[in-house]
Order: sequence, then C-alpha cells, then structure tokens
Amino acid sequence: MTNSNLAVRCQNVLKVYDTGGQKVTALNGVNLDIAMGELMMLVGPSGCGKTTLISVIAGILDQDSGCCEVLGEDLLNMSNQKNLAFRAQNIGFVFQAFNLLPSLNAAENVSVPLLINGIKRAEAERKAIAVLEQVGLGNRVNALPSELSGGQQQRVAIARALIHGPRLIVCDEPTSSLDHETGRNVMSLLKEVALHQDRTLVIVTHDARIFKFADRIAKMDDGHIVEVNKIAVSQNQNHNPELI
Amino acid sequence: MPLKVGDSLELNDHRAIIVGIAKVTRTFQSQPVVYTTYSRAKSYAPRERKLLSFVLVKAKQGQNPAELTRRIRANTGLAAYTQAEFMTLTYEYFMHNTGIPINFGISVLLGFIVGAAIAGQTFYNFTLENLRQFGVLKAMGTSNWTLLRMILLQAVLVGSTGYGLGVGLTALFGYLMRYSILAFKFPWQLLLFSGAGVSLICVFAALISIFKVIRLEPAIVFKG
Ligand SMILES: Nc1ncnc2c1ncn2[C@@H]1O[C@H](COP(=O)(O)OP(=O)(O)OP(=O)(O)O)[C@@H](O)[C@H]1O
Ligand SMILES: [Mg+2]
Repeated sequence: MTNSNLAVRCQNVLKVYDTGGQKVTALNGVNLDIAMGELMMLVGPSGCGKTTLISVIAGILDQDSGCCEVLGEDLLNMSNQKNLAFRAQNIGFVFQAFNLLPSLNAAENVSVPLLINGIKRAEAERKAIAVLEQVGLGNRVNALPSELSGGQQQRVAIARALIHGPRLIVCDEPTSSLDHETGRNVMSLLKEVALHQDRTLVIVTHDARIFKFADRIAKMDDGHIVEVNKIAVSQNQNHNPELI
Repeated sequence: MPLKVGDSLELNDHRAIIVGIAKVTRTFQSQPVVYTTYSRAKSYAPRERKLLSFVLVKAKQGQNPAELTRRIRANTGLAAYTQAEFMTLTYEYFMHNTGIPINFGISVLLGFIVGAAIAGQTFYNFTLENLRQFGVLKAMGTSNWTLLRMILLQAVLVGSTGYGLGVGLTALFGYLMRYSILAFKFPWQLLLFSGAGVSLICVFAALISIFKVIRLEPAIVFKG
C-alpha cells in the first residue's frame, strides 16, 4: 500500500448475491478511501449496499471482484486462517441489535475478543472492567444484557469493540435501536473514546441527527458511492436534509 | 378374580385347597404354577410316563455345590446344576428359543431412534436459536475449530447430565422394586451399553449442529 495514511482503500469493488438464480448486484464498482483516524459515515437508501460494503471492509464477506485493502492488507487473497487472526486483532464490531451473548454478564461479554486472541480469562476480565469503566458502566460489570437498557447494552457492545485495541471499528446502524438522546450519547462515546489517530470508524446510518459526528460522509446509491462530503460541524447542527 | 387362601379349586377332578400363595418374580409365561407334595401332584396331574421333571436339592451345610452336582451327575446319570448354572441355562433358553430378545431388541432400537431424533432435534434447535451468537463469534475471529469444540463440549455436558439422570432414576427404580414381584437386573454391561448409546446420540446431535455452524456465513451478523 502506497499511502500508509489510509485505513481502507476500495477499488472497483463488485458484489453480486446469487440466490437461486436471482442475481442482485449489491456493490457495483465501489471506490472509496478512508483515512486512518477518520470517522466515516456511510449513508444511502435502503438496499443500496451499505451493509454489504462494511461486511467486505470488515473481512466477513468476500467481494466478487475489485480490490479492498484494509490496513494495508488484501483480505480477499488472505488465507482463511490469517483472515480470522486479522479480524480478531484488528476489527471491532458494533451492531444495531447489540448482539451481546445473553448468558454472559457485561464484563464477560466485553472480554470475548481478548479470549479469542488467546488471553487468559482473569486478565481479560480485569481489562474488561477497566474498559467498562471508560464507557461509564463501571457499576454494571456483573449485569446480564437483559438487565441493561438499550443504551447500556450498546455501551457494553462498544466496550467489546474496543477492548482488543482494533484499528478499525465497523458499526451498522449503532443508534437506530435507541432514542435520540441515548443515540447521541452512544455517538459521543464512539467519537471520544473509540476514535483516535490510530483507529478508524466506519458507521452505517440512516440517522440524520448523528451526521454531525462524522468527519466525512459517503453517500451510496444503487451499489455506488455517489459522493463523499466533508462535514463542517458548525453548519450541520442537526441534520443535513440533502444527505438523507 | 384372584384366588386367595382358603379357596378351593378343581384340578382334573380333584379338589385342592389353597393354603398359601407364593410370592415369585413375574415371568414371561402365563401358566399358573401349583406347589404341592409329590404324591398329591401325582394325583392332580394326568397320567404321563414321566411326571417328574426336576428335583430341587438343598445341600447340607458345608457342601460344595459344584462338587455336589458332579457327584449327582456321576451317580444318577441325570443332569444336575447349581443355582447359577440353572440361571444361565434358563437365560440361554429364553435368548435362543423364544422371541423375547427380538421383541426387546426392537424396543431398545426404537427407544434409541426416538431418543436420537428428539435429542438431535432439541440440540439442533438450540443451535439454530443461537446461530446469531455463533455468527458474532465467527465475525470476531473465532475459528471453526473452536466453535466445534464449544458445541462438542455442550453435547458432552448435556449427554452426561442425561446419562447421570437416567442411570440414577433406573437405579432408584430398581431399589424401590427390590421387594416387589418385578425382576430387576442392572449389570455393569448395561451401563457401558447405554453409555455408548448416549454418546452415539450426542455425537449425532452435535454433528448436525456443527455442520450448520461451520457453513454459517459470518456476514449474517449485520442482518436484522
Ligand atoms: N444475503 C443476501 N442474499 C441475497 N441478497 C442480499 C443479501 N444481502 C443483501 N442482499 C441484497 O443486496 C442489496 C444490498 O443489501 P444491503 O443489506 O447491503 O443494503 P443496505 O444498504 O444495508 O440496506 P438497509 O439500509 O436496508 O440496511 C439489497 O438489494 C439486498 O436485498
Ligand atoms: Mg443495512
């Protein structure tokens, strides 16, 4: 990779879903560069391919053609084993539906990425408690997901996405299950705690109220990136109708 | 109407009065057995060339039964068996000359198949319910090998719990039936056999789940 400042470089990425003879072109030649340390939002109408794109970027879905370099690595041509290790070390995930393991408490949920990376349970849980404190849940480390509010669950999920120090965090609609106020808190947390110069965030969202947290917004339609806007925070206090 | 002590009945034109009811283990046959003295038995039973089919011998204190049967055999030319030998003989007879083992075998096989189907289905359902969690673990970089071990561990835990409960309940049943007329036998071979059966069922149940999880696309994690 020539530009070491880039976290993600997608070039002409194509993905066609084939479900029983019916072909759906989800990504139709995506070109997108995302810088290291940047918070990039991905917006666009339903079905335009946002989820497909971040799945390819996160290495959990193989594109059919085109190149996607993530942190300088070409994930498509990586061995399965290496791809797993790459994800375990470098990628954090935040989902719309939180996706915490229901039978594990907050600290145990947060320690999962460390366990996957082979770290001992006691050490992992100690670190998990520290990260839970960072996201403001130091007093709920033993709570089960069912005992936490949506916003709290999403904060646990953010702690889980952070704990192993990944250099890229992908989020699909992280605020869509939350009310406005909670969603904003979750976004500030992502921006303040998760984002720093060595970590990139890619956030798929429909939620115009959180656009102001983005460094840049990439607008997708019909499998393409149609434009990438730099956001001037002062001019985008609440929402930017043009982007919805 | 069951007979009771004091009742009288007619046996081949002879009157017999019941003076006691023997408590014996239930057998597979339905013919009633009448205990009486040899001389009365001769008058009750219709005339046949040989009325005596066997004699029950009680050994004197201190006699070696094996040695005794050998002596009886040598002196009379008749077959003589110790209690254990006679048990084996009876057992062998039922195993080789009756339809009972086949009937039992079919019951056991049926139980096995139904057990495997239900256990497999339940276990598979459990996997399906948690497919999203498996997807999340997969996306976060958990290898198929680790997931496979997780599922196997689950199967082993469920299997041993079920096996323990089953063996425990069976043993309890046998214990409670110890003074009843039901014959109950629970040799260690049965423990091994049922253990192997349960293991087979668990492996089968785990396998279908493992295939499902291995083929699972981690990209499902982002799906609503
Ligand atoms: N597993 C799949 N099999 C077949 N088609 C799929 C699959 N996943 C997505 N698609 C199709 O690919 C296109 C892009 O889907 P994708 O989920 O990426 O859209 P999206 O932009 O995330 O939409 P939304 O905003 O509704 O989440 C859609 O037309 C969708 O129907
Ligand atoms: Mg989507």
